[in-house]
Amino acid sequence: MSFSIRPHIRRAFRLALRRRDLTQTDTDEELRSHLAFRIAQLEARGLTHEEADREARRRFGDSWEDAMNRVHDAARSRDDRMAMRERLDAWWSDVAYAGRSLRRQPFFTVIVVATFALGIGANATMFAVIDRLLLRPPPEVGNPRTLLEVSRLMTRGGVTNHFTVMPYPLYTALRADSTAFRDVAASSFITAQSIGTGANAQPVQVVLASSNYFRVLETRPALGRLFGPSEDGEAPSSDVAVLSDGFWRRGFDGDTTILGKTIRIGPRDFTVIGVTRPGFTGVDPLNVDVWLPLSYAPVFGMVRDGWTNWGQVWLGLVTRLQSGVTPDVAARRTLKWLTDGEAAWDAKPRGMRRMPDAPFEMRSTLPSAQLADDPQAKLARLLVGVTAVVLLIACANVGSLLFARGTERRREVAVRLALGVSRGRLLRLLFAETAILAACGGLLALVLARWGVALLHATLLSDFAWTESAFDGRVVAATATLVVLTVVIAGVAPAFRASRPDLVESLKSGGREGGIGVSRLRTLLMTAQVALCVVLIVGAGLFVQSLRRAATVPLGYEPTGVLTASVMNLVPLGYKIPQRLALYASLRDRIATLPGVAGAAVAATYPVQGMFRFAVDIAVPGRDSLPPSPDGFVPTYNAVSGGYFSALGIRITDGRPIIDSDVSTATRVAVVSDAIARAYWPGERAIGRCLVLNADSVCTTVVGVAADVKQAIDGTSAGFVVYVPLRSEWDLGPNAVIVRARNGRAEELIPAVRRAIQGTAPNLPYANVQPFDALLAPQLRTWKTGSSLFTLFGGLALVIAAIGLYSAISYTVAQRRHEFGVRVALGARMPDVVRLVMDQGIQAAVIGTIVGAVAAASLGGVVAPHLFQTSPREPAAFALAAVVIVVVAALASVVPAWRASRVDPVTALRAD
Amino acid sequence: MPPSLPLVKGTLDLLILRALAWQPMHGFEIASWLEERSSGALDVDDSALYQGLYRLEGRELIAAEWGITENGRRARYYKVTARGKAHLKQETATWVRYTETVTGILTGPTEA
Repeated sequence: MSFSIRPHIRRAFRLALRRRDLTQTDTDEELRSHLAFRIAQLEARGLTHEEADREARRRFGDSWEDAMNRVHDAARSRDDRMAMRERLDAWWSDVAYAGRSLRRQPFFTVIVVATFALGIGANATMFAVIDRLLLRPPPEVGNPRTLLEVSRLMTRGGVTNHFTVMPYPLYTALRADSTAFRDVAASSFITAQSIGTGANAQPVQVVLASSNYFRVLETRPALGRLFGPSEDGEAPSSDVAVLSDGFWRRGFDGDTTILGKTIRIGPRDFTVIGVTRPGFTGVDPLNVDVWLPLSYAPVFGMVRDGWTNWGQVWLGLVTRLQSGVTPDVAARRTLKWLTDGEAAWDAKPRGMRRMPDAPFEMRSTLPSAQLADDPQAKLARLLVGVTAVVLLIACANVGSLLFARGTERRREVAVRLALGVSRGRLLRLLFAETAILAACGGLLALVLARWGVALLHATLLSDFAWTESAFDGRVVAATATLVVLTVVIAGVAPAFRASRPDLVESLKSGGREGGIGVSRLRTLLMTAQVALCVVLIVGAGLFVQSLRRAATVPLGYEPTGVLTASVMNLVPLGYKIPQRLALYASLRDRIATLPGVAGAAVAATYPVQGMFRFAVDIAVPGRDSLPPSPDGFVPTYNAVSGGYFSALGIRITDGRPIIDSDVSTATRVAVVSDAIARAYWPGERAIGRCLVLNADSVCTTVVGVAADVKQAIDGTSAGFVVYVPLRSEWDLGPNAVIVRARNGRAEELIPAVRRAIQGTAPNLPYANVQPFDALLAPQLRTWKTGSSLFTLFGGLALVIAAIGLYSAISYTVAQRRHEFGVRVALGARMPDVVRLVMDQGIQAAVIGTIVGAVAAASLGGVVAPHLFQTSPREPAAFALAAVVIVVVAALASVVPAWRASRVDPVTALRAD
Repeated sequence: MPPSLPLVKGTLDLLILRALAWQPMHGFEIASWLEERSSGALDVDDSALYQGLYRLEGRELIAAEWGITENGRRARYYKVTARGKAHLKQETATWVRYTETVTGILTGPTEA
């Protein structure tokens, strides 16, 4: 006899669904019974049995076989439908059941969710940043894949870099070469210009762009129009400006009537003709406020010696190639255009360095290619690895907690199995729990990531232009993927293990002792967590050490406490050198009398200021050739007022510095850098020697030797520098006032210095006043980012591991309560029990530290390129990691140990 | 006997639900009930009836259970579920409104 069970009963008892062959016989029986009824009915009306049978079948339709097929099909689709619904119901009831059981254990739930949230959150944050930095094409640029950037591969000291600044004549040559290039657009690099004058003056980030720039980038305006043919040509005729969406909103409150209004930038009024779409910044992800026509380059002093100068490199070129022309072909043609152009150019400047063979490369404008050499981007990739380690630690932690939970539930599982619940179903139940935990962790991770991305953008990546948040659907999708991944990593093994208890054993022992296997597994996971933490802490230590060394590396001058103040746009406003000398002299006088100023000087340039490095030709009478500078650069010179060396803190190693009377009288004197003195007059004094500068006719006498100065933190200090008095004859105008603060806190002087400048003359453009430390900050950024994020993620990992350690030890203590009770009853004293428990944590910490240290040492090569004067095997970093880990392990075990020592033998022994 | 009417699509399900709203029945009883009620005017294949029953069962509008008839035969009895009752009520209202409207239009005065 077959019997049918109602669906909800079947569900309640988790019984198997009906099988297909059962359905078939069921239906057949139903139809047989129908036929019997019909035949009986017809026979009662007087038909013979054969007639009745034929009629009964006929009533099912013209063809009995077709009819049967239709009915069986209907039965099958009914069963499929019901099976599906039952499966969904079962699924839902699993989830609901898992949810209920998690609610009963809030401590476990909170810890696991928090661990997941931290681990997944860190990864989601890094994903969002990497996604923005490296994975997305530049926003609002059409067909970014076919947009290529003209770059040149320059190899120096074995390192190849992409140089992307090109001379203007190369641009015109490529534009004319329509065989290879469909179109070529040029834009200058971003420069700060002053908008407005006097107290209202503001700096704006300006890019000069060719008339076809926006067309080649295939971007459209949000408002008005972008540059077109009327902006073409080399004569500044069309006084127009395009604003970026960000500047339009920030500077003009998103005024929709902005078109036709004028803004004053430097010496000229520009009419606003359009606003770009939000997010558009050109090819680079850097903030731009205004685009002006390229023809204004001479007005802003960006083109020297006319448009035919092959020696001045200042333009970025982007191109779309003709179809069928490969980037390699275009690159070779470009090199030929450059070589031919340079050869035909007759006004080669002195000291122009050539690399005639350096090949061109048509480089993708996608960020992955653009940021290939960028140290920050490389570091970001390393940090992805770091967050992955954090996630692994989180997974190990959760996995270990789940193992423990599995042991606790052995009895429950055994009962279920004994009652006939299938193992697959049990697995699903256990898995549902992990999935719920991970999903909650994932949701929380999204909140954390949103916050983390905003924090990273504000602190470490502030010069990257992200108009819309980096946090979007892609991050959510990535987080969902991470959730699935963590469920698999953390959940599979514990679920399998928990679903296979030794039935008889579990029911008998009452689940008191944790299985030996599980406890060994947990120890292993704990050790692994510690080891991974050690790797991260060593990394953090190495970066912190690098930052410290980089920040305190001897530069040859004392940047802390120094301000530089420059008035922008003086050259485009028509200030000639004598006028600039007069203006800066009075600026210096006013600033020098401000309270808190220890000294002030004027200079043409200063260290770090890479924009202004002025080459100088040096000759020494009686010598045919002079030794070259060991750093490979041509000698440069700087014109300074008195007080320059003391304001910057550059030591005078011999003779005297430049003093103010050198400037006012016409004596021809110079101070040379130590590198020059050593190279030109080894073993002799340089004082009193004669230099002939720039093919001059007279001697310039060396009166002093100044200590070598580094241009870059990681650069050499062996540069050849000649300091001359700041006078008009050197063709070097003053560009900055160097101010030394009396108390060493330069930033406190900024408002007073700015007021003093604006009070010197009416309607001056914006004055750029910045502490010297801020100028150096970009050079420190890699180590700063590295040390902050390594410390942050290392700390996170440590917290997670500490939670893991704590919960694992607490668990063991709970499991061994009985044993402790016995020990205490047999006379063990409190310190004995404490030591017993602490040993477990310390042991894991020590083994983990050794394993982690070995791993960290073998990973040294990965971090080495990011470090500064720090070996990846720096013992201090390893010592730090070991101390931190042991302290944390001790802290994590002290509470459970204390609890173990308080076990009351009577209660513990009576409990079972 | 007048020629039998072809079934309007979707009405069979409603008729089955109506039949079962009366009392639980097995397939043959439903068929007989429909023949009786329509005086044989409705043309329902027995195969169509069973397809309808299985369709309704799949949607959980009716539920089935094996039982024994008065004269001792095994038969699969169907009854309306709560969802089925609600469905019947709603669909009957719709059907009535629909037919009234269509009838009203079809039998209304023709315009000149």
